[in-house]
Amino acid sequence: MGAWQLAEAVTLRPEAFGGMAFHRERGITLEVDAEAYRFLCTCLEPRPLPPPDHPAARLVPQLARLGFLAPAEDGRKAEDGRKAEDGRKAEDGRKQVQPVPHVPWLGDGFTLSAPETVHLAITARCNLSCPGCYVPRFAGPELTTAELRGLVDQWAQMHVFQLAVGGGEPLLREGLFDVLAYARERDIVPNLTTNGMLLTPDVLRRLEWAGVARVNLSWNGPGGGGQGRAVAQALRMLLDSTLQVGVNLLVTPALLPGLPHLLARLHALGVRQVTILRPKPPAIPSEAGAVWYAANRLRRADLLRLRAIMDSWQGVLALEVDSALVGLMGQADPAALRRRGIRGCAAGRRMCTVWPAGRVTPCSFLAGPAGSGPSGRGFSAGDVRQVDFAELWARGENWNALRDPTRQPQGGCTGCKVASQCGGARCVARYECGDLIAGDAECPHFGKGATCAS
Amino acid sequence: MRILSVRHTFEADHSSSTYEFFALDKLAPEQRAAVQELTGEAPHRHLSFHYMGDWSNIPSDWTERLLTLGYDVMVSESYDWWAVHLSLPHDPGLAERLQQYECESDGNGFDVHVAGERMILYFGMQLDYSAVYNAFGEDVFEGLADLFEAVREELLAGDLSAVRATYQTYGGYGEAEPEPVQMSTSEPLSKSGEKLLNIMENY
Repeated sequence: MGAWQLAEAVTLRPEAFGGMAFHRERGITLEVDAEAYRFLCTCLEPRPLPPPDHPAARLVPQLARLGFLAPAEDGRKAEDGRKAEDGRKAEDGRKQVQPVPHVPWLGDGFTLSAPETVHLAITARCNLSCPGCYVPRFAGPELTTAELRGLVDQWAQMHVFQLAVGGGEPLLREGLFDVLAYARERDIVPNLTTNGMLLTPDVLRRLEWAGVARVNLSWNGPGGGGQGRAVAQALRMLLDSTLQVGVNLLVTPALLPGLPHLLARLHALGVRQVTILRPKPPAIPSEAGAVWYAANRLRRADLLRLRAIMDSWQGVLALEVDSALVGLMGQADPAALRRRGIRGCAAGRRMCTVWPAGRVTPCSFLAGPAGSGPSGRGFSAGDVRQVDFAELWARGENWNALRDPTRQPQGGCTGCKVASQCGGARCVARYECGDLIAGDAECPHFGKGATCAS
Repeated sequence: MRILSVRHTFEADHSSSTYEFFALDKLAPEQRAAVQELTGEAPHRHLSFHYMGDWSNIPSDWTERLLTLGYDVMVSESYDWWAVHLSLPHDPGLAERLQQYECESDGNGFDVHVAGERMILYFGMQLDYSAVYNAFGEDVFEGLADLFEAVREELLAGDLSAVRATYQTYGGYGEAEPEPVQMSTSEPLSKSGEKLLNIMENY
């Protein structure tokens, strides 16, 4: 019988419930129980298939099908019981054995030991002025490329799986390709969100060289800076590249009537993956932000209309929704959502945002300064220039309400069968109700006239 | 030793969810009317629902309602998780025997509950599509439905082979499971039980 081994492109990480495995080439994240995680760790070295009566025997075919286990290059090594040297590269450059992962803080299962994805707003600069943009134009000197590389080192030690690099417009940022390539070198998968205006064949080649997995093109709809023609051109270039391509579509009430036409246009261009984004309240309180949100928020009727449009595109486009729209799945079986790893708003528990000047917040929309948030201390856990990222994450200062597993979302979310997989958008709850764990009053599953409180 | 969740991140998951209901006998006129009112679909003996996209799914109460409105078997597949529901007349003695084998955890395993005059049995299985395809060919839903029709007959006759096979595969994981039943491994499984065990073990 041949020997099997954990695929080279898999990152493992222990968690309180067992562990996680991320396939860096396929983009698949597994959560497994403690026993299965221990088994995966044994597969860091080549080993023979377990016998049929071994508890792992049922697991192996599925792990192999998902690409997490692969035939070892030299099966005899496993059968002979010989071990390759820890971390040593084989002659062909392929790592034979990776060390068993260790993380500085295990989390509690509700909050992970490290973010799955860090949202890195790499610059505040932008070549567009989209109304409703949540990124303040200047918030202090931006992290240097050397500081960003240092952060990548810290994230690699924590076994962070992915970076979602945005801005501002990230392509304006000097050192961008260096940071992206360094993340890939440290086994963190970089992804990029751009408005597309600065994409050129040369930029695409550099993104490919840097190992970027997926490029998301932002489409901010009417009033989005007159992107239309430039976005279409950028899309054509992207679709000709080796990169995964997605379009982020910010759906506002003004865009809804034209949404079927826009989806048809994207489909005709060759786009297959579209992520529907929900307008969020301004991250930094401002009068202009409040006016924009009041005009562009999706109310219950809009969300029901959105779902009807999405239903009509079933099977034609691969439509995804952002975490603030998991409420659209309210008819789904919660166990099925759980098995697909859908967890709604995971701000501060599974992801976080690092801002251009180094501030760390639970997400891009819970970013208010001191004077906002719990106890008026804002949502910042601290600054990566002053404290190690791992410590900021473990401490999660000012994130307690998000991290308390006993505090279920209230209001209209009470009793909802998908509450634990969705939970509503916490930034909307905070904005509308002044309470992070209030109900998401715009959810289509709320009864009409629902309030923040239960 | 289990996978708790699988999430695709680079690419949207192109998988889908399918629910197929089968009635062994013709539906009575009042059942047909109720099915039509509930689903808006013509109430054929074979009713099928297919969804693509995370946001869209069968309403949560339809399964139980349809299984008490004349449908006897429901086979569903959603992102590699397969489930079969059987509807049987409520028999307290049989229900008590079946409850010994309840072992549902994270969608896998077996459970039984009473819905009015019916008992709804749930068999959850994490199967690779190709394993089911190998067993039944192209008509995988109909193939599984046929298998579970036979299982249903055996259960009504008091033969719990399929339930024992499910417990043998998935039992012993859940935290709130009853004390493990004394599995008699010497007692042979029925042909249907053997086939089900083979599919579950060779996924």
